[in-house]
Amino acid sequence: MNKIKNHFENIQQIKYLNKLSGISRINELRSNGMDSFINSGFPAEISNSEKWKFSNINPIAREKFSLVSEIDKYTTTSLDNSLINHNANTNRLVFIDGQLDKNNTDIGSISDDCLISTFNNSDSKSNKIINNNLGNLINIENDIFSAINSAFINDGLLINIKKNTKITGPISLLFITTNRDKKIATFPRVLIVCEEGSESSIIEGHVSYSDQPSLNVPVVEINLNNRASLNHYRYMIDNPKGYHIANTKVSVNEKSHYNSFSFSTGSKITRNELEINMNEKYSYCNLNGLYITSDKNHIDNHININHKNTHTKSNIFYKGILKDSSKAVFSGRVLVERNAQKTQATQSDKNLLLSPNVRINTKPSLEIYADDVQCGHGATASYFGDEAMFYMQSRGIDKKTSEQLLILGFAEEIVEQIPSLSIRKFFSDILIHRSI
Amino acid sequence: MLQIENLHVSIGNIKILKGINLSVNSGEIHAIMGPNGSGKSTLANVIAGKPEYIIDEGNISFNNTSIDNLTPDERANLGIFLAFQYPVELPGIPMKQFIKTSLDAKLKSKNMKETTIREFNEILKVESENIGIDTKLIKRSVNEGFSGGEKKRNEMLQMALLKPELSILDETDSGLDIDALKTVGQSVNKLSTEENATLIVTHYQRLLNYITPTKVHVLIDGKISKSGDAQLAKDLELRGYDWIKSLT
Repeated sequence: MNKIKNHFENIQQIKYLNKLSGISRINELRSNGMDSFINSGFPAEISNSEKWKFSNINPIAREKFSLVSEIDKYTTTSLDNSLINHNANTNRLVFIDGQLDKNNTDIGSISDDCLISTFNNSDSKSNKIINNNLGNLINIENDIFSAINSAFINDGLLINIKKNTKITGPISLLFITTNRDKKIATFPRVLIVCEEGSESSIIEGHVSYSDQPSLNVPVVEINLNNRASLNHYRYMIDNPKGYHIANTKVSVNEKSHYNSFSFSTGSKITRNELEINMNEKYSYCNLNGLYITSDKNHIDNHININHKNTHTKSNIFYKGILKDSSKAVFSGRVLVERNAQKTQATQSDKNLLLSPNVRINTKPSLEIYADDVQCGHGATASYFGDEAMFYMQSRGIDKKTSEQLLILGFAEEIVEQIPSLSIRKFFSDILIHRSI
Repeated sequence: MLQIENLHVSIGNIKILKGINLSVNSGEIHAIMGPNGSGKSTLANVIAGKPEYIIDEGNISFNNTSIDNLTPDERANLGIFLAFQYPVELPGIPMKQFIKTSLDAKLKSKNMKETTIREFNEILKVESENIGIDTKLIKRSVNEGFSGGEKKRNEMLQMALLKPELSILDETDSGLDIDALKTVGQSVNKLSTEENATLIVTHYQRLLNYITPTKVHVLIDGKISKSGDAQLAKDLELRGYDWIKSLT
């Protein structure tokens, strides 16, 4: 227990930790997560592993964070509306410092097509789904951040898209870290179960208003049943001192389709882990991502795709824009198992370097045990083209505007992959705001 | 309008221009001809302000003001336009946005109001038709996937829209088929007035079948070896650059 107290200063005062949840699976995960954390400790001890080779997370281990039990008074008007209202008709759930904020939450229009419930407020039907699914995709023993998240599960969220339903607008989840006089730690937990033949879009946003080195450790588990499709948009806007270590685990089944778009910016250390299991034949995933680093930011995108069956298809396309003295890591590992014949897999990571002091470690890799597959991978890192800058300036466009246009142009190839026009506009707007 | 005096230019440690004197007045069309490696493109680029070239000696002035210390965009907004030999592809930057930003920058530098989107679309439509540029290209990213001819037509389109005082065409004719060559010739003739001037940098005489230059200069090894009228280009076509070299 001392090990935990070293990192979380007010653990005794957090009431929910001493209370059993009405959901047996949650009690089990909390207890396993806590045991695992006590046994393995914080990342300081694991930073020499291959998995963390390019990301030093010792600074996180050295901090002491506070847990939050209730939402303190804050003014909702201080929230940046542009980050919330990307679509006036969007169904949204807002979590402030890890807990549902009812004032900003509105899911009225979709309640018939799906089941949305927080873990603290779930009925027997939700409990059953949580008991059957929560924690199935994570590995508490081997992943310390999934373990910590599980140890501190509180007001998690279940989204269950019902069989053969098509949800037209996106469901927006916004996790906000407020600015307090202490370093707070939050552990958002989301379980998404898309039933057979359903179609939906979910936007998951993490925004920090804190100027403290706060810690945010979200875990999102997604189970796509046969023929289900999900567009998952994820964005992270943190402060330059913040820590964001996210785990997204996805199980993709027969003829189901997972389409993701990830946008990260800011933060002292960000790690986005994304693991996709292509379990059944004809499953498909398409992962697009954009990361913008500045100052001394560090952003690490760590992707694993496991092709476990025939005729599965995956595509990874990420781009990075690196400024100042920032650092980015891209690690994409695609595993094609022996019986996953006719797999098609591509991955690409391209980086635009805007300063000689940036550093990129990019490592796309393929591990293939089947013999009838089509796979390819590549990575690039390049500076701004001098010719492009001269061409634009020779048209009267000043240096700063030319740079902005080139950055936005570089990002456009990723942004244009977003199928929904309103969501594409939302991301373009954040991009303009963040890249200039 | 353009006054170049004793211009010496180098890139890295290599001296390329070795004392150029050139004077271009309003209403004139000058052709700079010369063999490969003689410094023609360097001259075009250095007037437009390409950063990697170093002026070792001499100076360039435009409308009686030295422009040596101005950035390329400042020169462009004074009225200098360079049509590139190899127009650059700008993936992800839409043609319309690029051209409008460019036009607005010029208007802004003259303290004039920016064009509205409607006004801009109207001007763009008219000029695109004049140049014969496919409207589908206007919807794409700048020069991305354009053929050589389409890129050069795009340069002419921008030139027509920006209405520069001094247009510099850097081997705009290279790699063009007869139709595209004709378009370039027509564009230059159409834009030429008593108030502006054109500097055509070319290896071959063939573009000059469509444009009659006021003056022709032959550049050899970083220096102007011979100047004359339109007849000089024709003589060169018959006798080759070795003829000039033998005279010097």
